[in-house]
Amino acid sequence: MTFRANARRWSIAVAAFCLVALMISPKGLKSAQAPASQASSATPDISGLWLVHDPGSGDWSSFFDNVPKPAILPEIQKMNDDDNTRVAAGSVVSTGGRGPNCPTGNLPMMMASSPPLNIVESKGEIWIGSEANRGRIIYTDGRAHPDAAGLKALNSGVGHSIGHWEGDTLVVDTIGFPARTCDTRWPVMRVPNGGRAKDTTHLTERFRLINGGKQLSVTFTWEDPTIYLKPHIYSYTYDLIENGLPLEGGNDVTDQDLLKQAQGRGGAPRY
Amino acid sequence: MTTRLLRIGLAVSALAVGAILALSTGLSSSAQAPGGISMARPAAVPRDALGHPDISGYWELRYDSRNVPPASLTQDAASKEAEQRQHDLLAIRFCALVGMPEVMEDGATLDIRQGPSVIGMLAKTPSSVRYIYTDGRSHPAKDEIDPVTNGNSIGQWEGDALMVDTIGFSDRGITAIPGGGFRTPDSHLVERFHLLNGGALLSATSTWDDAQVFKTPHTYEFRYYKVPEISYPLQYGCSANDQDRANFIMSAMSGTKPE
Repeated sequence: MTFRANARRWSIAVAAFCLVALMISPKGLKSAQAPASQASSATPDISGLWLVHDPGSGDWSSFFDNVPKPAILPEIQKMNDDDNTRVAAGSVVSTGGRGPNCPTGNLPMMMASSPPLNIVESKGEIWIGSEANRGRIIYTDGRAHPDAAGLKALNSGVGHSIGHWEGDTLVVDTIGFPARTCDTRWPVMRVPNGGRAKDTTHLTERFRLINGGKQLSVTFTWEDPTIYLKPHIYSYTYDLIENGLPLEGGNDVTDQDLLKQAQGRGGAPRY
Repeated sequence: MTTRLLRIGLAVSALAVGAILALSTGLSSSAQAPGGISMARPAAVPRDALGHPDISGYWELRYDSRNVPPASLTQDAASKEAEQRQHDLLAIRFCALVGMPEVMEDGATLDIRQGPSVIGMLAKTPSSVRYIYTDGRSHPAKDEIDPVTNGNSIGQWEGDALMVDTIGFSDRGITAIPGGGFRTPDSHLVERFHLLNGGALLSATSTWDDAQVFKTPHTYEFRYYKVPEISYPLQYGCSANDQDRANFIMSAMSGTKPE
């Protein structure tokens, strides 16, 4: 092989090396990837204030039960009958207190309540609050549910939720409901029209914008072989409150009249 | 001819080495200045789907996070400080929603989530979620606004800085402002958020304007450190019926020791 041929090959090799180095550099890689915005902007933004659409049930309890009747085990039916009998006999106020060991929040009730849902959707988390209150966090960052000990430590009536997008539908998987609540009227959390939720229950929700984004459809599927004979499925539609702002409830705790009332009954002012 | 080819080969190799060196220097986060002093180059910050810096994450204030000068208070505001302190203690005692600016410095991790149309901020202290609307809306008209403890916040991006304008505060919750003074329903807050150190720090500069309270607008800066994953961001429990807690808090008002 001549020196001339060697020099040519060497030049070609160096040029090729340069080309490969440029291609595998971080800059080169970055430009070869799709921008993050393309991947993220493909998912609909369900942020906003959403009011559950009541077809005209008359009152909240009627609305809560205005879903198909679930097929439940006989022992759950007995639990419902016993609780209903007690409430009908006048046990309408919970005496269970609100101690530090009581689970906070109630997912099925919050999703059905008249204060609008307030949703903030970000890349890794979606928050669903009730009006200005805090509520649920749905993790969409790819994490899994915590283990049993982690779920127990949550002690939350909204459980632990993880979600992912299937096309334009947000699919949310929730477990970790409390075995019991501190509500003496309904010691096991109620689900619309006679269902229940507890530590063995699994909820799947499917969120989807409809009517050009003016409405949000949510389908709930409750599963638990210790409660249901088959999955309990129902849907709600929520109406967007455009430019809506969450209100804040409560009384002024510095109001002297309220303080006097509170002292009179030995408690705190309601707020 | 052979010599010429050799020269071409050497020139190409020199160019290659130079190009690779230049490329690697350009991509590194720091470079050496004359004298050996390291010059930090701005690292890339995380960005959202719209290309804005993404301030989502868990953020905490540390001992070196606050740059808060004393506020220049009006005579009227200075004379009301004791009254305002009593007001705030009652709010704490009865577990009221604390509101702004306490939610931004409650001592626990602040969870911030940024979406394309709204940014949420969640503190652990009893409080409402703070919403900053970035969808281009304006504040409601003054006679239509419902005052809340966090006020009504709208934001817009100016380059890589998020400018937030807040009005519509209620007179409830913890009203104290860092550096002195307190918020009122007439207060106006302008905040500037921007990421530093490649997103490891979040700077939040706050400027309060309220002719009843401040002689001149009061400005201070917090720098939050980004922290990795935290346990489930639960709200602190608070029982207004805990008498021992109530005595502990309210004894500060009378100057007595807690019973």
